[in-house]
Amino acid sequence: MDGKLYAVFGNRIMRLCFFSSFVFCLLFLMPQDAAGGPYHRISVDGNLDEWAAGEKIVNDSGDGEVMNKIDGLYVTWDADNLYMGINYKVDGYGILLYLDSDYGGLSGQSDLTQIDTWNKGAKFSADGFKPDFMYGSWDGDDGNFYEIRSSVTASWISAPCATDFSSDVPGTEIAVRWDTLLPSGFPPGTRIAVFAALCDGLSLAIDAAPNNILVSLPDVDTCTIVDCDSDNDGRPDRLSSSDFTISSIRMPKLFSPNSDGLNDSLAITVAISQSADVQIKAYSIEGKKVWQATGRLSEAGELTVTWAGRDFSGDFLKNGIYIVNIRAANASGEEVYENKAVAIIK
Amino acid sequence: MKDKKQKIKAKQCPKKLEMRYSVFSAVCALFLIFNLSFLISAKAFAAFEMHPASARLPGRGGWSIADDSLSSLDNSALSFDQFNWEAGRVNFYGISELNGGFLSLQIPSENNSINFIYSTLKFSSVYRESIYSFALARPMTKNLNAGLRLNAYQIDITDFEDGIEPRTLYSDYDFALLFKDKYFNFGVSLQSLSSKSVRLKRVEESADAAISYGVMFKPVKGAVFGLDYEPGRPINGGLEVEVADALKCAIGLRQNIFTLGFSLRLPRCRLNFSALLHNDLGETYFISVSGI
Repeated sequence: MDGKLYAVFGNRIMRLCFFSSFVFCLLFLMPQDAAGGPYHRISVDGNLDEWAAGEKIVNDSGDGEVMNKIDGLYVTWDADNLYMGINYKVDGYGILLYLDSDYGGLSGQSDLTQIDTWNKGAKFSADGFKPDFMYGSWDGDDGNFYEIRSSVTASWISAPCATDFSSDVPGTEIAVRWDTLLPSGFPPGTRIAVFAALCDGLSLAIDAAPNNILVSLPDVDTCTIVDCDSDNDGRPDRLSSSDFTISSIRMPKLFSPNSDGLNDSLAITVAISQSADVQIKAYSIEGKKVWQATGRLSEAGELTVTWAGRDFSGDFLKNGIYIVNIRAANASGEEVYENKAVAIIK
Repeated sequence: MKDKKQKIKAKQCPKKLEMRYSVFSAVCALFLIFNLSFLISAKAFAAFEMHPASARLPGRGGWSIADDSLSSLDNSALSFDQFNWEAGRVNFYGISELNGGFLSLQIPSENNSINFIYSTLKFSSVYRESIYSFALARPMTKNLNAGLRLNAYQIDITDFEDGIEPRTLYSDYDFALLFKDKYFNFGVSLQSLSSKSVRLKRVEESADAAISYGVMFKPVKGAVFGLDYEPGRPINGGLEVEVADALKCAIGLRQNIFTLGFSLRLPRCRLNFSALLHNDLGETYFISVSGI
C-alpha cells in the first residue's frame, strides 16, 4: 500500500517539480520589460517644453506668463527619479519649492522660521504637509536642493537642477533619486506633496503655486498632493494620459510589390490624438520581424509611411499574410499599439 | 542443470532480439536522416506556416516532429491506436479579420494509420489559404514508423488588380520517419517534396523543400518535452505535463515566442486551449475540441 501511494504521489510530485522548474527556466530566459513599464524621463535643462499636459499638477497661468509670476508646477517620475518642474520667470527675486516625500507621514517640518538655510519665514498649516526637502534658486541661477534635517538645519544634497528663462517654456527642472527621497525604500501607496513660492530677500512673497486659501505668505495653508503609487504595488506607477489613442489606421488589405507600377507599395496612414513617436513594424504571420520604420508627429494629426514590401536586406518578401504593428509613444512614455494585417500578392 | 540453463537462455533470447531490432531500427533511421539532410537544406515556403492541426501543439511550443500522439502537419509518420478527431479555431494577434480553422481525423486500420487534415487561414474577404492533407503511416519495425502525406493547397484572392489569379491550386508531398522508444522518440520530416513554383500574379515563387528534425523525451509518466529543429530557423521546444488526472498544462517557446496552453478532459471529449504571447504583436489564441 505504501509503495503504491509512493508510486502515485511520487510520480505526481515529480511531474509538478519538473513542470515548475521548466516554467522557471523559461521565465528566466524571457526578455523582460522594464519594471513598471514606460515612464517619462526628463532631460534636466530648464526648458519645460517636453512635459506633457497631464504632468502639470498646478496650473497658475491665470497670472499670464509674465515676469515674477509662477505659471505652473509639474511633477513626473521614472523608476529611478522624481522630476519636478516650475514654469516661471523672475528678475531680482528667488524661488523656493518645498517637497514632502512621504505626505501624511510623520517625518518633515511644518515650521521653518528658524531654519539655517533659505529662511523665508515659512510656516505650513495644510493637513499632513510637512516638507522633508526644499529647493532654492535666486534670480534665475540653477539653484540647489536641500534635505530639511530639523526645524533649524538643512543640508545640501546632490540633485541635478537647471534653470533656463530663454526657452519657450521657461523655468526650473529638478531631478531627485527616489532612494534619496525615500532611503528606506519605496513604500506602497507613496504620496508626495509640493508647494512653491517666490521670495524676496526676507520672506516668501508675491506669488505661490498653488495659491494660498485663507492666509498670506509666508504662512502657507495649501499644497498639491500627487499619488505616486495608486495601485499599492510598492513601485512608482506607470504614467498615463487618458486621451492618447491611435484614432485610425488607413491602409489597403493587399498590395503587390513586383515593380509593375500597380500597387507596388503599401501606404500606411496613422492618425494619433497627441504628439508622438511612431514605430511601424511588419512581421511575418509567425511573428518574425521583417521591416521597420519610424516617424514623429509633433502634434495630433496624421503620419504616412510607405512600405515597399522588402525586408531588412532589401529583398522582396514572399507571398502571404504579414502583420503591420503600429506603436506610438507620447511624451509621458505612454504607449499604444494596433495590429493590422496585409496580404502580399506578387 | 544444463537444460535449465538452456531454458533461461531461450527465455532471454526474444528480449535480446528485440533490443537488437530496436538498435538496428534506430541506426537505419539515423542513416537515412543524415543522408537526406545533405540533399535538403532550403527554407520552407512563406505561406502556410501558421496552419494549425491541433490546438495542443502551439501551447507547448509547436514541436511535433517526434510526437507519437498528436495529429500534425509536420510529421506524417504518426500512427494511431484509436479513432480521434479534433476541430478548432484560431485568432491571430487580436486582428478580428485574421482567423484560422482546422479539422483533423485520425483513423487507425489493421496495419496503417490514416490522417486527414483540413486547415484554413482567412484574412477578411480578400485572401484565404487552405490545405487538404492525407497521410498514411505504416509501422516498418516495432519502433520505426514511416509516413507519406499528400498535400493540396488552395489560395483564393479577391480580384484587386489585373493579372491576379483568383484561385491557385498546387500540391506536394511529405515523407517522414518516426523512431519510438520507451523514454524518447526521434523523428525527421521532409516537407514540400516535388513542389513546383507557384505564381499568384507575375512573380513565380518556389515552395522549397525543407527538412525538420525532432526529439521527444518521456522522462516520467504524464510528462513529455521535446524540440523541433529546422536549419535556419529558431528551435521550437516545450513541455506538457499532466498536472492532474483531467488536466494537462503546457509551456514552451515557438520561434522565440513564449507559449502556454492547457487541455482539459471532459466527458466524451477534450477541450484544448493555447496561446502564443508575442512581445510586440500581442496574443494569438487557439481553441479546439477533440475526441480523446
